Amino acid sequence: MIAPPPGGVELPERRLIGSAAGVAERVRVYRRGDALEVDTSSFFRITRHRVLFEEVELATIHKGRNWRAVVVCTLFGMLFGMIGAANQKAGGAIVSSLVLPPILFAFVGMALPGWVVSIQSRRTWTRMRFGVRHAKAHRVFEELLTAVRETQSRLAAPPPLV
Amino acid sequence: MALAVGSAPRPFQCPRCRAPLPEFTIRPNEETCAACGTTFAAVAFSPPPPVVRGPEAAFADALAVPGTGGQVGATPCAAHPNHAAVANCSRCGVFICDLCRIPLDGLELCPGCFDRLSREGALGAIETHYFDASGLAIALGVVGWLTSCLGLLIGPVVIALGLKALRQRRAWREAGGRGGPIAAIASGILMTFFGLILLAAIFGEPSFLAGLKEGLK
Repeated sequence: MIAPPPGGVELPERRLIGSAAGVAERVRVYRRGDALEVDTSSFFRITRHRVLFEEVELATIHKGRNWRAVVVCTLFGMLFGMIGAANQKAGGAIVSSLVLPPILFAFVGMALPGWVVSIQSRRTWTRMRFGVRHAKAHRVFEELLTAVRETQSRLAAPPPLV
Repeated sequence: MALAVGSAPRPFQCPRCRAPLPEFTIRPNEETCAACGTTFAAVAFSPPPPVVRGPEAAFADALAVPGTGGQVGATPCAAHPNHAAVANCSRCGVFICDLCRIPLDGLELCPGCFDRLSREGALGAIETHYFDASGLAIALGVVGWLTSCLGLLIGPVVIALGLKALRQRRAWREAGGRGGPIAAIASGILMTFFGLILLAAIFGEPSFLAGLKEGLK
């Protein structure tokens, strides 16, 4: 095994700015310097890729409902409800009380659509979902736009005369 | 020498269905995807073309720099006898020219050692896959409470995974994000204590011991 690097490059600190969830994976998006670091966690294995601001071509924001989460929550609510109804004598009330959180979550998901921010670069892309934090979604979008503009204008500027 | 490579023409994608969008429709206002009907605000950028230094450039440099490129008396590269060596591989010590040299993590590697070390996962700078210690700690923490009789077994594992997750966070220089691992560690400690209490209650119970003795007879 080789020795650790004597004077390796010090990475800038990274900060969580958003996340998204799929059927079997969880995406967490971090800001690290002039790039986004995207950690996709699936079955306890994290795959990391980066979206460099210098390569960003398109940034979008839109309002959307997470229908998958709504359906899953409704199904769980129905499952707990059926179990509770079938066992009303033996602890059915406890199981029935479990119906409320998923149904409430599904209702909130339907009534209040979240915001989705996506960043597409030349080679990679990422997406973040903000369920109820609408102001944060717009703040993150504006922050990313500013960072991308700054990075790309810095690179496009001619080198200083020596 | 630097080569400017233009980006391959690639259509923008709808942020929802990922259907290709014609580039000319992108304006900094409300757009609608023709495929799924999603309305979104889009801002397009014109990134500068990437500047890459390909092998051709390194080859040209190797020939252009005085003292390299087949100079008589110079130590040759192990892979390119016509090139002068500019360094030793940090791992195997072989002479390498500017074309073969791979500077990484403060080391200068030959292509063979780079392949080997990257296969072994010893090069942190090119690592893209990691073990999700935090996710497993939290998941095991939940499973541990659901199967509380196994708390004595699962609790220490949860504590170890939580500590590993904290070390990962520190190594990745992550601001915040320690709540999950700390909660998992606390859960693991409680789970272990609960397991010990359960064990003491089971084995300290006289009727249980009597029943066990009866069963053994």
